[in-house]
Amino acid sequence: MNLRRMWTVARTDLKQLIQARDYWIPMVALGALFFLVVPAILLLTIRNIGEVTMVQQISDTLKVLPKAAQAQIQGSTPEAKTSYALSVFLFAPIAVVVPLTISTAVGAATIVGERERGTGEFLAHSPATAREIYTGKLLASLIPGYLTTIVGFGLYSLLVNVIAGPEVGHWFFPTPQWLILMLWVIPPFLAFTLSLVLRLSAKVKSTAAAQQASGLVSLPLIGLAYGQSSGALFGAGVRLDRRRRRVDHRGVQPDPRGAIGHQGAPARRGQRGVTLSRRSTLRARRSAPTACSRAQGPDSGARGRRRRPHR
Amino acid sequence: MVRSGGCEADTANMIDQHGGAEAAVVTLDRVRHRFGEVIALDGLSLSVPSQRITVLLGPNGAGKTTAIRTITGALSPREGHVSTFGLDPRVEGDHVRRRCGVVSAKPALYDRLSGYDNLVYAAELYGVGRASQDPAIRAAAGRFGIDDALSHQVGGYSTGMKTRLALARAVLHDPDLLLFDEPTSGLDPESSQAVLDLIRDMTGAGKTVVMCTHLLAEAEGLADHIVVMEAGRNLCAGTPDELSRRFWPGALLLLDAESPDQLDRVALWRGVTAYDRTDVARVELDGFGRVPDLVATLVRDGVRLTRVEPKVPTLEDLYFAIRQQARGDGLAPVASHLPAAAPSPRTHELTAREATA
Repeated sequence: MNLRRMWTVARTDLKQLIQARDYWIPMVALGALFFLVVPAILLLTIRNIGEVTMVQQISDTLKVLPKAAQAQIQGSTPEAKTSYALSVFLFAPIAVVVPLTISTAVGAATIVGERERGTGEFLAHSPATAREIYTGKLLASLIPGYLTTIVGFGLYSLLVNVIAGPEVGHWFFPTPQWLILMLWVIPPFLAFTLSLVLRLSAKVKSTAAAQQASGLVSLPLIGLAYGQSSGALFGAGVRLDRRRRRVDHRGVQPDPRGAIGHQGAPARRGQRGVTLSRRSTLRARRSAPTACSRAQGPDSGARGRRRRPHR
Repeated sequence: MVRSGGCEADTANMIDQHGGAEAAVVTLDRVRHRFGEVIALDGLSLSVPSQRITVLLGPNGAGKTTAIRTITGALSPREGHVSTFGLDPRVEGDHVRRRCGVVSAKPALYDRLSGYDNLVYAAELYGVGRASQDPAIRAAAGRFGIDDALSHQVGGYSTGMKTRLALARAVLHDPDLLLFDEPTSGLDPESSQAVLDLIRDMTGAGKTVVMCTHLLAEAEGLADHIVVMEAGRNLCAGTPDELSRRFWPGALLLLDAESPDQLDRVALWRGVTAYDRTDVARVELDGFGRVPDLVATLVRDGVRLTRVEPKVPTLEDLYFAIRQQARGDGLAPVASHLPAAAPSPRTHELTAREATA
């Protein structure tokens, strides 16, 4: 593959996007809305709301978060905790939705658009191979979305630290999980989605059809990414928590929602309020019958397999 | 009735021997391709002689554009063999396309970019070095008279300017083979003529040109070599003169007189192979050598002639004759209306003696 030709295709597509104000103005507006306007309104509202009861109520809702996530939340006051939680957890999916929306809008039209305008004929007769054209167009679709997200992320970091930083007590954003999300998760995820969208764009007959088809691809992926990005942030907290605390499977604390653990099991020495990581949760599930059998007597626990305590 | 060596059905799909005799830049051999149910190329065979203008003639859907795509490797046919510059475009498309310049029926330009940026894009894709890009762009734009508009967005160009820019883009990298797919589509007559003149000039510089069109008038006088296509097949190929001789080895004469009905006697004279009179009499003779005798005899018979004009068959005549033959109607005479002259015992034999008497 000739990299120079591939980059020429990408650069020319990007140059056309820059020329198209009707494209990049909505793109900037979208990024600004999600990364600046909405967070600024929410954070400023929490800081300036004044009514302590309401903030306390919002702060109380944070208790639905996993304990590890709760443990991550910094700040001593309800305002600080609420601001921190909103900044770190609530807006995480924006980092996925914004680039995906922008990039699929470009990607959906890129190949079928060439065909509609007749410029595909020029490319087909040029020395550029199909692979070079495809990769160039993938880059040209990925860069606007990712660039907007990175710039938006930088501004969002500044905004969060300026508004919520004083409440929390120090500048806390970006957290390591956000950096991983932005630098490690988003680019390949975006590239994967765009590769599907570009293939669709090459198959369909019109730009409108490409937009529709790309929606079918990107919406489920947005949902998946939404869940993954939220889960990654919460889950990462769990893992960090596990390192700090020693999990004793012999005495699993009853889950407050009754999802796991042995209800009514006696608290043992060394047991603390422990939230399980996913792996230890599975272990706990396996060990639960044993715990039950011990509690109910030797006969009832005949089916249970005794497990060596994990220290 | 096929009167003389037209393109017989069995030879129609053979590689054109005329082109093959010279160094052929392009050779298509029994190429087949279909788009779904539609057969685009149905065993097409042709060759393009070097440094000539080859015109692919045919109605819409004849497969001309598909043939051009096949030549550059933009399209890989399902069957058959393609050779361009001696290379297989399916395998070495990169090398083949770098030596080709293509102008499509639509100018295929990027409207949001300036004329200059469009040319830069082409220059970079075709591997023109950075140092020589700007001079090459200025030279190509100047050649087609659009150098003043290079800084403007192409979206604001007229159709003629777009075509000129597309032509400049096609020659920017100094290709050996130029392929024009209906380059005058959508142009006014003046711009069309200018574009055709520019194409003609290019062959003077040693380029090989393939142009496809369904406009016979624009191919007239431009084509060195003709390939008539229909339904993805090559009906006939050769130079215009060669094809004319093949179809009409005799001479065609237009006659008119103060009393036109007096001319009808000519139909029965010896040496007259076809005769038709509508507004003027069209007489086909077996050779121009008979013209003086014919005129002299008519004058001797008291016919007051008002018009005696040798007629050279046009490309249009040739085209329709070839297509009619392909349809199995037999070769139509020039202008498609001349009935064959029936031999008759009353046929006069024109002799020099009679003519001079």
